[in-house]
Amino acid sequence: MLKIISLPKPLHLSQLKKNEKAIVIGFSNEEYPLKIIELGIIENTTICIKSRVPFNGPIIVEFGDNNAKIALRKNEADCILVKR
Amino acid sequence: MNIKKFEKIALIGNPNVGKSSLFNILTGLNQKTGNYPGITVEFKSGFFKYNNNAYELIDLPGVYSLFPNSVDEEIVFETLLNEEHPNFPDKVIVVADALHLRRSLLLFQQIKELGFPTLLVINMMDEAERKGIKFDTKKAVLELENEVVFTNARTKMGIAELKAAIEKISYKKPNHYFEIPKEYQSKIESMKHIYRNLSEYKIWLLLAQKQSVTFYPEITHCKTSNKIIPKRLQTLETLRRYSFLQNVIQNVSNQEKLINKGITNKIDSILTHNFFGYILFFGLLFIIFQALFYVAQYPMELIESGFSYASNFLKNTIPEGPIQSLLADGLIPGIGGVIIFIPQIAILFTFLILLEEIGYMSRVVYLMDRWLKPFGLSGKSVVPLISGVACAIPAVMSARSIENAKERLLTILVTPFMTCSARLPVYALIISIVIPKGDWWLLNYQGIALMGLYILGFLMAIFSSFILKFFIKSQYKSYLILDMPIYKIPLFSNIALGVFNKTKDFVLGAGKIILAISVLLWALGTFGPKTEANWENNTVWTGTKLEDSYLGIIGKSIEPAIKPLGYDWKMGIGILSSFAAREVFVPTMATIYSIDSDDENSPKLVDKMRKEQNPETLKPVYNLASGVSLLLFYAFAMQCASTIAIVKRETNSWKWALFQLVFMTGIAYLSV
Repeated sequence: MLKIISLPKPLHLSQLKKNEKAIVIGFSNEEYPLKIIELGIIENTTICIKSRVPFNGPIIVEFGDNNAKIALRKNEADCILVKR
Repeated sequence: MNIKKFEKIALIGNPNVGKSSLFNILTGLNQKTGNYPGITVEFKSGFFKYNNNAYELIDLPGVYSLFPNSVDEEIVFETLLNEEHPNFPDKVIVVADALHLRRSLLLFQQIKELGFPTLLVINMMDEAERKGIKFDTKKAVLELENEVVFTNARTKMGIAELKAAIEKISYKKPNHYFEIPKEYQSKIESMKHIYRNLSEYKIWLLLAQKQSVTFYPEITHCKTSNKIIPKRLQTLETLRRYSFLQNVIQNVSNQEKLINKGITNKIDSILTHNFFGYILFFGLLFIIFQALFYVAQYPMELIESGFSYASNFLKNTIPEGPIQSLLADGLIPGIGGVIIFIPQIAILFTFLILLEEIGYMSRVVYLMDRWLKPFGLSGKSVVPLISGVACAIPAVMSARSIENAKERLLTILVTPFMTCSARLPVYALIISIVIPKGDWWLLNYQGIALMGLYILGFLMAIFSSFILKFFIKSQYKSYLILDMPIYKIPLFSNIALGVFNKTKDFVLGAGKIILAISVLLWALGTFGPKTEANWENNTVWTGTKLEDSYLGIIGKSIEPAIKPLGYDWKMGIGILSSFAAREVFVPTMATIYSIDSDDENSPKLVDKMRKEQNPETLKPVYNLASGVSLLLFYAFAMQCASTIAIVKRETNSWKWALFQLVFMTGIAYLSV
């Protein structure tokens, strides 16, 4: 079952810098949209931010073995917890 | 001896896996767009033959799983789960993306476990090769416990094998399947007593639905009374399948080392750039608009002169009478009024489908989402809003891909404010009458006025969305999660077929209404209560004077309502007939003014309207004030019966369609 992580200082995906590699460790709350998981962002997936629209706009992330790319809003990116 | 009808095969897959390319290759021009009677949804199906067997292929919208979140996705779910559904398939073909196989296999497994005879097609092999991914066919068949075909729609590789495999699709019970967690077993057992022929997995899948499933009411009831949280079930199933699939993929494919040859990242560094990305997008919009107005103008003029030639030809060859009048003044201009839109619609869809094929549209959604969100819209509203410049009907339909119900509804409600091509002839006519010719620096006044109206339409669309968003409640939180596909060279056949189908849909759908209205208007304008008397007195057909016709009577009776706006009864008729379709205004005015005068060498419509005077004040009826107010009225009023019909269908309620009619027309009345 899905883990709700409450370890010290996990990073939100949106806190990463551009092109900084990280690993997905879980989700911050149960409000995450299922589509994130369906697209393949699950635990232990490598992920990095490729570009972002200013003023808290959407983010394009690259993840997984085959460099899949998706766009997310900042709210969705905040649901995803990562470690560097 | 073919007693059996077509075998129905559903074509299903993730978005951007080349599903529609395969559909086009298999069915070619044997495609149709159909409607389910009584249901709000439209579908695309095509036919093909192989070895004397006939198949109907049903193209379903792209999905990632059977856990729907948007209208598009619900269509797929219902087609596959509701056995009463008219398109419930006999067999299913799942198209997978060789680059992102795990994602595709999630959907494949779900469908297979529903019990469908299934064929797995792994497409986009060229892209996989480029990235250094290789597949072991024998192991794939073994591990997935299913027939697998490898294709490349771009080069038509594997198509012959695909056709041969379609003939042999059969159901093989898998050894591995999703094990339903123990804590849900008892609920599923109790449901099995009610729905005896449902498999356990089907019941589980039905329990895992967010929306209530109308065709199995007891399951929805069970879900609410047991307080089952569908999202938990969905997450559980997805994660379990993924952990299983991880091993499968390692066994069937090998990737020695990741070759990052793709140019996608390089292109993206410009196209999604925070500055150049927008410059390029607006530049592209500019090119599209130029093409819409300047390129389209030539075929449009050709069509116009062709139809007026046909009309004159009929007038000269058929003896005068109601038949001649019906053909030359009613039917021919009516058909012409539909055909005239084809160049613009075809050009717009060429661009939209081309950009979609390349993979650029997702980038536009990404770029625009931030700026449309404050108005209650989504980045995905961009496509409907741009399409709205050609015609609101396909535009409203393209809003279907927006997951969030509120964003979708807002998009549908405000898209008709965009200046559609039907408004263009009206604008062009009125502007040429009331706006003086002349230049301001390099810009021409009339050109500025026209551009201003386009900007006004867009501003009105986002402004009213901003207001309406406070009044529309939303059940679900809005989100945006969108696949950014790799850039691809577009397939010409896909674009050609797409444009052909969209244009055909428009001509057959909206065209029927426009044509019917034109003929109706002709009848109302030609006949009147006194027509019979005319017949008796004259042996020669003269028609009825416009003022005495039914149309004239209607126009005069609404004069009190439009007088405060500064319009006369002739404009009233124009506006009234425009509620069927705006572009009818121009032919109506032409009819009004040419029916009115018996002058053979009649001057142009523009000059006639310019000379028209108010009988009381002796000032021109079409002055700057009334002209501008008429322009504003056309910019804002909801005057399109076809759009109302489409909005009704897409929102599945008269409430929103009528609300839109009242809202838009109310704004129009107040603003002028």
